[in-house]
This record gives sequence, structure tokens and C-alpha cells, in this order.
Amino acid sequence: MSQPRPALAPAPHWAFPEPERHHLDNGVTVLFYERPGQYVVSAGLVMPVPLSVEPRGSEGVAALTAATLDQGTSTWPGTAFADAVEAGGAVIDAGVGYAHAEVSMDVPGSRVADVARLFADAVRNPELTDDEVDQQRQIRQAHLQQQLARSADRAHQGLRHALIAPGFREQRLPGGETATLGAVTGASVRDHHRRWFSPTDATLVVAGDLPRDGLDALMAAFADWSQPEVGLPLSQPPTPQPSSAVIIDRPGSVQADIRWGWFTIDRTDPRWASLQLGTHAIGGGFGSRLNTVLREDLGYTYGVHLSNAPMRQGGMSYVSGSFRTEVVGRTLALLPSLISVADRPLTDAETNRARDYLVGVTPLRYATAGGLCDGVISALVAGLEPSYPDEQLSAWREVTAADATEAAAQLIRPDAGTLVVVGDADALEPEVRAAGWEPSVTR
Amino acid sequence: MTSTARLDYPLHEHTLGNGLRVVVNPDHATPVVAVNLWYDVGSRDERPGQTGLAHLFEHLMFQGSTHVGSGEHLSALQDAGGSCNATTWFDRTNYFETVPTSALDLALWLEADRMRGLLDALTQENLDNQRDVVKEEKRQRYDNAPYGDLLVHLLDLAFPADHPYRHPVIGSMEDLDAAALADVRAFFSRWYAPGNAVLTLAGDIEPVDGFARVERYFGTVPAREVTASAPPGPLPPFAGTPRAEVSGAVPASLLTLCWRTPAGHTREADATDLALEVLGGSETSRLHRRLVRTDRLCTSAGASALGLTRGSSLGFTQARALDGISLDTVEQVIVDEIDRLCEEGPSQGELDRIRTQFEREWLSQCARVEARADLLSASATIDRNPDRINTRIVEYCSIGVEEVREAARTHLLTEHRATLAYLHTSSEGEDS
Repeated sequence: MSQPRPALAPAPHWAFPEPERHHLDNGVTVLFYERPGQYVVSAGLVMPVPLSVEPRGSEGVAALTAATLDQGTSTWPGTAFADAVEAGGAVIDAGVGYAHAEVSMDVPGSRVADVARLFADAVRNPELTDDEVDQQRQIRQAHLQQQLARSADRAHQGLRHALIAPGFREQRLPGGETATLGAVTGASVRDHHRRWFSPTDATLVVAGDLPRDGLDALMAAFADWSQPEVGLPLSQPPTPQPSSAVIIDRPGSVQADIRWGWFTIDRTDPRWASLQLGTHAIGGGFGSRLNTVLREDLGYTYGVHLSNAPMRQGGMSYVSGSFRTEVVGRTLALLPSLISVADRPLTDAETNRARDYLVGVTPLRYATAGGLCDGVISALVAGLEPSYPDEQLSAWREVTAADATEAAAQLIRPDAGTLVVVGDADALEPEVRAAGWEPSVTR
Repeated sequence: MTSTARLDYPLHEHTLGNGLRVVVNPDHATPVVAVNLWYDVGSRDERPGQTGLAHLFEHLMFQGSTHVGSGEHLSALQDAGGSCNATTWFDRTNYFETVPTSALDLALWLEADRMRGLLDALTQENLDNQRDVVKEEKRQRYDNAPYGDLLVHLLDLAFPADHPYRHPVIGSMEDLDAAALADVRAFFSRWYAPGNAVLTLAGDIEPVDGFARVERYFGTVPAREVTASAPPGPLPPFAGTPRAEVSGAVPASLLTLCWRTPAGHTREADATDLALEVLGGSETSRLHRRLVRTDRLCTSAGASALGLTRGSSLGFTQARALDGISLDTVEQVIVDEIDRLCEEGPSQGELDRIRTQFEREWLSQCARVEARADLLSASATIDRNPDRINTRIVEYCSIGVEEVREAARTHLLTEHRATLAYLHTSSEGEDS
């Protein structure tokens, strides 16, 4: 009755698209990716300003600057700016990462020319009034509180705090934390914008289906942007703290969020592709070692993962999952053997499956204008070429099972790493101790 | 591309002998195909005492079938470079995978094998394991999350006791515990027939080729009669202003106002949605401007719709109060703004902004081949017309000021609102 199981056809050819490049006299590089059929155009203006420029006592000033950019400009004061953006069919957003600041816009291709100056005005001439900054700070502090009320977000923050040495900005949330956000003023936001928003080394990425006059209007809107050249400080590579274990008390929790993390490598490390395949086989896919045992065999969790979070220099890798409180001890007892490749090296089959997944999903990731724009910006802020996805495909194809095993053995060590557990501390502490950790408890 | 433009995604339709409806949307920009199989069954079709069964069943669809092992469906597709998942909602259950063209046959074969022979692989062990997984999902997404029980309280307020939309999709722990193999078998037999599904392929495939492949794998799945659940009629507006108050360890007090609104996928529902957009669709909306910017009572304020296909949907406004601000104060401001909208209607400028924003959002959804496939399955199922994705912008943007005012006066009157006050009782979430 039914057909026999079909074999896979040969994988289709795909390559990362080449951009059309322009260089504006003020230093802005323009990368344009023409994508027929992508009627919503994505544009991103990215500046390589690291968060390490923030004063220690007012961390969050960069994120607050970004949040306030679209709350009025010199040409469109106050709410007139948001009204004009919406009337133009656009959405404009701004944000920061540890190594960059970014202002982005999505808009139908036919409307790009109409809103190009709005987009540039947010970058170049934001009002940043005391009143707006105060209000944005109040909103961000409330959002931060909501974020940290969620167990998973609290665990992620806790892992950063415990894993990375406190002398580095990367130890703390990119948007700033409660204590330092309170110190940000309108004056410090205006100062941050004046000192660090500059066309020097900025890149404008544009992707989608748009008429030529749309691209011309975008370039014209940034062409006469002048600002004194900024001397960006050299960022020091972050270093880890000694291994530790922390329980963060969240009374009444019915589950515990577990993070077990290691300070690992970034995308420029020669072991990067090997680590990616290794972590995927151990805890990336549905059929990974971790998920097969902890979800599919034991039903302890809705899902468990081993992920990499590379920074510009160095990175974090971590096991993450949410488990009902009663099985946390058993889970912690099982985890070392599940992640260890010493006794169970990764097989050729596991390595090939990881490779086929990562290679296979790549075209879809960059299929939309938004996905393409994000991908290019993510490469640029890591200090890589925009065509990095092509290099990555080649690198994945070279990795052997022995390479993946070796990278995992060096970096994902069952005898090291930092453990963070968020949940009901009274119930969790004996379980964590029984699993061989000596946790401190944060209440 | 303007607000009055019809889109022109090419669409081809075909129905197999067993009743399976197929939609193909060729798009050769990237060598991938989005496969979307939408079954016309959801939590609305569960019987009393069986809440959560539709979603638990969805999990079991990944535990093997006649020729497929437990967990193999997802693993095989991921190993072929595909991404794959499923969701259950009040009105539907959709299964989808986006695969490189090289794995399209595998995806179709896997979907056909479970449509034909899920019960061959169903075991007590699989049921018990996935019951545990679903209970962990419920704990993670609802029981352990701030405001996680908000929807349960809202549904309690909004629907009468025996109504099919009264219970949340995730169900209750008691009903999940009680689910037996016989229930799962009966659910499959009743709902998972080819004639109760739409299969959409969007991406790098031509219609003739797509139809032939679907015929090859699904053509011999036996037809079965499906009798739809009796659809509930539209509910009357709330009698008076029902109110509930709950409290919990949440970071801020949250006020939700709710109305019974027209069933989704109708012009009247769109007009009501537009009124909700004017109230709280974005940062330029009336509630955000008033509550967050001008009066500084809230850290966020908005409005939205929970679109449902049978009888009635729900419309909401929602606002999070700043510390020390009473929800009564917030409620009075919202009531004033809604009364004003019902009285004066929206301005042409407000409506124009919402239209251009709708156009971009719709185009953005259609830009993703996997989201487009889902829209096509939805329109083919609910409207019996997948081409609605091409006419949707024109349709939505043809609704004028007077129609929106009329919808607000009919469906969003403040004397027929339900109110849920969620009060915060602790300082959960302080920074450490």
C-alpha cells in the first residue's frame, strides 16, 4: 500500500550572495543585496562601538541611547517621529550588542525612498531630551524586572555573572542592570551619542527588492553625515572566573532552570567548526545524546540543549534546560556522563548528521531580506567578512569525528565548568550537594 | 506596491481521491520547500475530562508510525537539513517542516506514514513518556512563569462553562493524567483523516511535480468520514461588567479588559481588530500615548485580538501599572479612551498608519516561505480559499473610518467589558 522510504536526493547547490559595495566619502561602507521577491526591505546601520566604552557606574547608557533614538529627532520632534515612521509603513528599531550598536529598519521596497531620511535622522540627530531619557529608563527598568522574574532569563544572567570575570563588560547584561541603569541621565546619553555615533567604520547593510531610487535615497541620507573621527578603544578579551556552583532562590518554583557552562572560544578559533558539530551532536538536535535520554527516554524535561554563545573574543558554551524539582538531583548525576566524549567518542554517523543539519538549514536562514541582513551584521560585528557563512559551510565539510570529539573533550569538560540552578533553594540544595557540587545560595 | 495592490503569489490547487486538499505555491528563490499539513482539529474538539488531549496527541505524532521509529520523524528531517515542528491551537493542529529540495520526498513520506499508520506504533510507554514531557512543558510555559495562569482566568471569565473555548490548549494536569490509549486511538480515528486536512507546499517545486509527489505518498491513504463538532453560535456581549481579581508573585500589576468579538476571518472581525489597533496596536496608539507617555501611569499599554473561528473571538486591552499606581485609575483612563473611540471613531490619519503597518506586516509574513505555507493552509481550511493571501491587504485596507467606529460601538462597549485585575504581591525579580 505505502511507498518504500525514499532516499535523499543530492543536496542542492547554494552559495551566500555577493553584495554590491559602495563607499561613502565619510567612511560608511554600503553593502547592498538585491533579493527579488523580498518585498519588505531590511536595512541596518551598524557601528563597531563596544559596550566596554560605557563607564562602569552607568552601564546601560548605550542601550538607553539606542532606546531613545526613535523618541524624536531634530526634524521630527517628539511623537512626530513615530507618527511619520508608521505613516511611512516602516518600523525602526535600535539596539546594542557587546561589540556594536545598530539601528535597523524594515519597510516595503516601494516606500524606502520616502522614509530614508527618517532612518538617518534617528542615527544622526536624535533629540535625547532629559524627559525622554527618564521615561525610557523607567520603562527599561520595569522590563528588566519582568525579564528577571522569568526563571530562564534569571538563569542566563546568573551564568554570565558566575562564569565571566567581573572586570569585563561581558559579565553583565548588554542593556545594563538595575543598579547602573539608575545612574544614566539625559546628559550621559547625549554624551554617549556625541562621542561614539560616527560614520567612521560604520556599515549600512541593505537587503531586499527595491527600486534604485530607494537605495540612492538611503545612501544620500547618510552621505553628508559628519562627526569627529572616534578612536575606539581596544577591547581586552574577557577571561573566566574559577569554576563555581550557585543556587539562585526563586521560592515556589515548580521547576528548576539548570545552566552548566564553560568559557570557550569564538568564531575565529580554528576549532570553532569542530566545536559546533560536537555540541550539536551532544545537545543541539532533537536526536542529540542529551535530549534522547533526558526528554525522550526519561521525560524529565520539555527539552535540553547544549549551545554555543560566541563573543567577539572568547565565548560561552552551556547546557540549558528546565526540569521539575524532584528530578534535578538525578539529572545532575547523569549530565557528566551524557556530555563526556572521553568514554564515548563522537561517531562518524553522529558527526555526519550534525554536519548535514547545519549545512542543510543554512540557505533557509538567509532566505529573507531580514535573515540576510541579520546574518551579515552578525558576521561584521564578530570581525568577520560578510561572506562568512560560505567559509563556515566549507569548514563544516572538513570536520572529522575525531576533530569534533577532540574539540568537545577540550572545551566541554565534565570535570570543570560553572553550575547555576534557579529554583526553590530549600528543595534544591541537598540535591545539588548530593550530585557533588558545593553550591552557594543567592536569596 | 501600495495598500490597494493585490499580491500575485502563484497558487495551484488539487484534491486527491481520498479528500486531501493540496496547495502548491512555486517560489524558486531558494532551494527549499516548506511543507505544511494543517488538520482541522484543535482543543475546541476535546470532550469534557479530556482537556489537553489534542496537544498530547500532537506529541504522539512524533513517536513513530508503521515504518517510522519513536523520535525518528524529527531526527530524520533534522539530519537531512530540515527544520520541523508542530503546534496545537484552539482551532487547529499544524505539522510543518522546511527542507532542502533533496529531502522533500522524505518529508512527504514521513507525513503520509503517520497519517496512515500512527496507531501501529502507539504504545503505553510512548504515551506515558510524552505525558511527562507535556507536563514539563506546562510547568515551564505556564505554572513556573509569571502571569502563566492569566489565560486560564480570562477564559473562565469569557466563556460559559461548557463552551469549547473555555479551557486552555495545554489542558489540566488531572485530564493529562487521565488520558488513556483508548482516548488517543479514538482521537486519531475521528480527526486524522485525509479529508480533514490541507497540505501546502511552498517553495522550489513546480505544481505538476508537487501534485505527483503528493499523490505518490498520500494517494493510497484510505478515505474516512469526518463529522465536525457542532459549532457554537456567537455569544451575546457580557451581561454587565464581570470582574475577577487574582494575585501572585509577579513583577507588576496587570490590568486586562476583555470583550466578546466577532468570529475571525470575517469583515466584522477585521473592523473590530482595526478599532483595537487604534486603541493599542503600537507606540502611536491612544492607550500607549495616554497611559505610558502622557499620564505616566503604566510601563506598557496595548490591545490585541485572540482570533477564533467559531461563534466568537476575544478582544483585549492590557496595561502594566507602574509601582504605586492603582489599577482602578488605569481602568478609568482606558474606559474613557474607549468611550471616546466609540463616540468619535478613529481619525483618517490613524487608519492610514494602521493600514501601511498592516501591509508591511503581511508582506513580512509572506516573505518567509514557511510562514506563507501556514497562511495558505489556514486560508484553504477556514476560508476555503487560499488566494485570500493575495487579496488580504486590499480587503483589510478597504475598511473605512465609519465601519471601525460602528464595530467599536457594537463590540467594544465599556458597559459590556470583563475585567481581570492581576495584582502583584511580592518583589520577585529584583536584580541581584
